[in-house]
Amino acid sequence: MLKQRNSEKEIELFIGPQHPASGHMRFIGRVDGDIFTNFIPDPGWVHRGIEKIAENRKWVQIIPLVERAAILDAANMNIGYVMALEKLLDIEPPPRAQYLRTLLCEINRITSHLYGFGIAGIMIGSSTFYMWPFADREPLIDIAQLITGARLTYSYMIPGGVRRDLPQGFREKVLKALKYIERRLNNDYFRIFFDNPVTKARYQGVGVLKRNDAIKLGIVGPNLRASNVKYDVRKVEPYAAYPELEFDVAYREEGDCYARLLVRVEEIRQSIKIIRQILDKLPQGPIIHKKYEKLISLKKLEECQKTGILGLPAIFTALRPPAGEVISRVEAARGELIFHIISTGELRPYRLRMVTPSFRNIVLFRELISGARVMDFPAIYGSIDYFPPESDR
Amino acid sequence: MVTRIISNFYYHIRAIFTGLKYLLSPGIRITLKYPDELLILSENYRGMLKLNSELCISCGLCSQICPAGAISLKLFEHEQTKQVKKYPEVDYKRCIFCGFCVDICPSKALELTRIHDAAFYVKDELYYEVNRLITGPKIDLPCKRSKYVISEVDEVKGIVYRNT
Amino acid sequence: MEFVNLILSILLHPSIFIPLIFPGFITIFVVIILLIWAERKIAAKIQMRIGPLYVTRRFGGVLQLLADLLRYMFAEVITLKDSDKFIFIASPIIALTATLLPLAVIPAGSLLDIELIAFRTNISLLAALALSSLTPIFIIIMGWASNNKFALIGGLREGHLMISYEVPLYLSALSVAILYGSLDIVDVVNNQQRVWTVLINPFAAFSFFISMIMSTSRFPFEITESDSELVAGPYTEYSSILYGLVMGVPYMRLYVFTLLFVDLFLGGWHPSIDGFSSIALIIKVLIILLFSVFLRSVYPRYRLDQAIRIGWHTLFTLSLISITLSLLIIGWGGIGGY
Repeated sequence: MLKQRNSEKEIELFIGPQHPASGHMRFIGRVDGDIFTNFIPDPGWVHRGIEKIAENRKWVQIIPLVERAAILDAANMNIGYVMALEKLLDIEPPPRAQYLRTLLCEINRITSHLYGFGIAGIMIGSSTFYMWPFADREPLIDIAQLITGARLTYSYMIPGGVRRDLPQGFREKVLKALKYIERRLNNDYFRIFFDNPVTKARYQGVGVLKRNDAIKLGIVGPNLRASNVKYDVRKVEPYAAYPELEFDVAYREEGDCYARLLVRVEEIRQSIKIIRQILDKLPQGPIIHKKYEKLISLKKLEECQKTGILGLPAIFTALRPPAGEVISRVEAARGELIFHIISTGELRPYRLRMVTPSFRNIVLFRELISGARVMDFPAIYGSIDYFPPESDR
Repeated sequence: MVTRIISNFYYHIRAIFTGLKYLLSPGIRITLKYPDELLILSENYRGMLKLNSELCISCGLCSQICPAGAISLKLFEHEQTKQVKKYPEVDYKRCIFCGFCVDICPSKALELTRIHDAAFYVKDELYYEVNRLITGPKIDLPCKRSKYVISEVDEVKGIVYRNT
Repeated sequence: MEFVNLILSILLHPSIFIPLIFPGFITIFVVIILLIWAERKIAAKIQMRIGPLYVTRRFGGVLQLLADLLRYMFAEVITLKDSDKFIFIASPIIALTATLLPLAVIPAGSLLDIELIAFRTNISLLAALALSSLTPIFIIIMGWASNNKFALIGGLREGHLMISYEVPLYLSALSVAILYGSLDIVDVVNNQQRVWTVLINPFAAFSFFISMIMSTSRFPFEITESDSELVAGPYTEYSSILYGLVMGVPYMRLYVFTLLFVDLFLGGWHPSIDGFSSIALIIKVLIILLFSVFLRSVYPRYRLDQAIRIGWHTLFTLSLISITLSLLIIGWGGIGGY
């Protein structure tokens, strides 16, 4: 005889893709009264097959492809892939190109964290703190448009260097935008949201992640640093211009949702400090490796002195890096991003594998929300800063 | 315990006063009032393409580098000089506005315009054949009272739209 | 002529004029249209954007809500196959009616020499509060009748909240009645000619105000219809004109409670001008309404158990303190003029 196992008092909730608080994924939870007894995330609704498509594209054509895995964070995805490709080709970009790459990466880190704040705000109901970070991204996106020519889809870094140089009058605009963001962050954001007793009641003590659990589960990014682990790829394995820049690693000890948000606030402050150092220390020089600079026609090089647009050498349509297997690690806004590329010396890669930080953080849903109250689910979701397209690729 | 109650009350009052400050002070609005205000984009914006047929050397590099496969080359005959050459054509259903084709062209025949509105009423108009590509894209004003504005980063207000 | 005089005498009789025209049905509709517009504009001003603009462009989009209501009227009312159809359609209508019932006993000053009180009794405070506690029951019924798990959870949340704000609400009103020695709201207002109750017994005013915000789903207590977790709480499955009704119910409750708050604590219609004393009442009601909707732009929302804890720890204690304060003031010789 078969006996029914589910008790009558548990409701099974499908918080599906058509829900204001779920993003592009589904959650299956069992609710008993006010507590989730069992909580399973169900990703895969935004899977576009980026790794498989990359096996049919030439090496330079993959640059816009991997950016669109997490379009908020395009510069960090870009730099991860290009660093792996440069390891295969065995070249190093010139110093000015390294500094320009770092500049775009840090601007992108600030905009991505502001987007995360917006989502955290609307999830616990504060519509003001949803509109303000999104409005404050506008000056920075305008700055990024001045450098690269597009608002979000940069495709700025190519193997050997970068595509364009800085335009005139750039430095003053960036300093103005940074002053605006600093003033808003330190004054108004704290007064209306972070110091608000309602916010503190929703976030403090909720979703606590202990240090040993964080290390055992393989969590990355600001979620790890909020649990008292000082691990940042920019300090462990420095790349681009980071060996020459001074900044601190933001970390906190409590491990609850409030700590994760404050780690992101501190990271924005450190990024502002890094951008100011870059503007002071920017060296002069070429923006692409000499091997490729020789292959660009003289007429285009002269135009580059005037307008700043360099262009690509024609060899990129038939780029054949030597056979080998490389790994590159980058600190994206949400955590550590790994690219693993296997090449057999052909026009197209044999295998491209990207391990994104959101995919490694998805286990936090199962660990933190089982046993928590129903109304804690949006608070925890907002504080993890999970981005479904980045996780599904 | 009493200090906690007093500090909570103080933070509540401070949040309400910040809200009142934004409510009663003169307005900062970050909205671009489209279609009354149309934005002129910055100089090196990656918009739609325009071809200069005299400089094109028919190398085909633009078609080989395009990540989305939007450019294809076809044979054309010039009406007056009877010269037969290959020219590129662009399919905007596929173009991702990355600008690789413009960057790789060795004779700078393709150039970027500042127009990004690839919106048409008829689906076939999305395919820019070579004559339309030579004249380039154009936009009409959405309504009679539209004006052009330029965006500027400002220290106090974030971003400001100024009339030209 | 006779016929017109007859109609006018019926319309201007207080028992018809108040529930129908002022401060009743028609005034409530005008107030709600302006109030929801004001809420959206206030939120937009704080959030650095514009808000509704294009409907009547020269006046800043005032009639936006009228355009929305017109759209609701022409949409199709979808009733679910497995829901309890009669209760599904009837409960918003009954909830709306129950919300407007307390207006029969709340006084509103005088206008054109007509004393604006529809039904004068000497237990009008008790009657107003008792009639106002009918609406949450129908919200719970709406959550059950929708046959939707999210609606059910939303309805149960309203039930949890209801038992936490009712007791402080009643106790604060009781402390005012003790202070002035009568349950008749007209007496309470007439005793505030020289000094308002909020200066004598601020604890009662504070706890009544916070309970009022809790009962009408204003932020930070907008837990029943929390937009971002349950799709719209018990109101999820309603479309077109029922949705319009159901969204109007919390605002109507807010209006009725604000009238009661101003009558009990802020001096009602004093300082009064002879024959037009309602004007002071209208101004005070508008200020309190605008403040209640302004809170949407400042606060997130509380968690359910934190809201219940506030109801029982903070507000209950405050209301007991306010009763003690009233008893002490009475013991020391009362207030001159009573």
